[in-house]
Amino acid sequence: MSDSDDKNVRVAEALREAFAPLVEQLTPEVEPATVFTPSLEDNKDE
Amino acid sequence: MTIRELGTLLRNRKISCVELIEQTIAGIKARTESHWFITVTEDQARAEAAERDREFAAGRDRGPFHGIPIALKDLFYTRGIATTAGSLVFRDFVPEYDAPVVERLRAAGAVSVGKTNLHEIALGITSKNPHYGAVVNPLDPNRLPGGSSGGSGAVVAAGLVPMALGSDTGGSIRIPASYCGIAGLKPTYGRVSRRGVLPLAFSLDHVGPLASCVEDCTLTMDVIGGGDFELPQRTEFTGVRVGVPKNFFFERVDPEVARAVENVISEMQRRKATLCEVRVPDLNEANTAAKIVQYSEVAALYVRHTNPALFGRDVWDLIQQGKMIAGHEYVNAQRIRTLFRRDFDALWKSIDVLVTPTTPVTAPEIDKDSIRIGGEEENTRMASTRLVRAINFLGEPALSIPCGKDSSGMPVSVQLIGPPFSEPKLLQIGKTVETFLSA
Repeated sequence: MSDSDDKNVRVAEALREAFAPLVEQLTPEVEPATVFTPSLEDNKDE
Repeated sequence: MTIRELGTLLRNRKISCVELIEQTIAGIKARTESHWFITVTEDQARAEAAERDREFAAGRDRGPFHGIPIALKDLFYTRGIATTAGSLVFRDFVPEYDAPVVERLRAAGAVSVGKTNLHEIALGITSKNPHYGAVVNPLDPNRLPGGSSGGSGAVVAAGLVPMALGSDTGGSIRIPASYCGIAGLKPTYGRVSRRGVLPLAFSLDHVGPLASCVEDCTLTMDVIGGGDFELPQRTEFTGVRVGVPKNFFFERVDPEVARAVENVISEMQRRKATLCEVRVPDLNEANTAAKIVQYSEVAALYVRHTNPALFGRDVWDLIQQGKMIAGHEYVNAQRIRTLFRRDFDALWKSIDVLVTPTTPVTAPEIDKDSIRIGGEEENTRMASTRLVRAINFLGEPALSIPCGKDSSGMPVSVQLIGPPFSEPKLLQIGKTVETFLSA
């Protein structure tokens, strides 16, 4: 693994570690906010 | 000059549309070393300007944008004209149609003079593009112009055009607006069509204007947002509940920036706004979840591109990092987003607008990867996006306006954030702020 690959693994791991505790606040009924505001313009144009 | 000022010159026959476009093209050519444009569409611009002159002569007036030069970030599809996203991946991509926002601006009479440079694939804030040159900040060549819509910010700040379209996934309209000292609006997610706009992160991408003033943002929204965004001008803020954040937004902010924004808040109160101190949800957490979403969506888009030689180092690294995020993490970040949306929906019951700095510092020096705030070093990209990224995650509209200068003469900007689809009111408040600041 190159130094650069190694750095990317470390940066990604740090982000995932920072994110992990946030998941604890999720209860089963919380759904993903996907595309939460449909675009009026997209509807018109497409 | 603003769109209305240029329009007055055109309508009073002080200058023709063709002459205005020639002046603009001459200005662009005089600054090619600033790398503001990837493609200048001078022949098409001249032809369209001539047509706009013929229409004026025949008594046809398309409205405020008639004959006005504009520019487009080089990720908006333009029929028959290369659309690179500042990337080698799209170097030869020539769209077969115009993005609807481009089509609408042309129908409104605007004349595009070209496609502006940007941070490669819109993933970054320096606009130091390794393939098309580093965008120069027209206010100070030793400072970053911001990004990713750096070219759009620079051409407006240089006075070449009154408005250039940009896109904003984690601050990419508001950061260059702040560092170049101009107005910039990130509309509500979904308000403006993203069709024909090369994506970066589907659920975070927004399209909006970088402009010489708030009114030019409003006029642009009238065209691309499909409605009437202009409310009557006000001189006071009677009945406006201004949210003043007690946490997050003024933490680790340069004192000169904080003072300028606090001055805006005081002036709003003096003009009869009701100030409401509020505690906002933990936006450090929102930023973390937003990065999980953004990096995953970017990686999904670029996963099939496996040749690092096609990318700048910083962009390649972020794509690789995005590939390491698991599917469950992406889904849970989108679930966290639901919680933040609920929290902000509750916040908007007590305030009409949240007033914050746009960036914690003024334009950073180009050769430094980190900046120092209050004795602490922070990565320049992380600092630049810290106060803006979460607003993409939420989807709320946010307007950046210059509100002063620091001791080195660089612009400081205030960010006005409103509830979803509150752009008319946000722009009205912004225009009033802009007016009292210029008095």
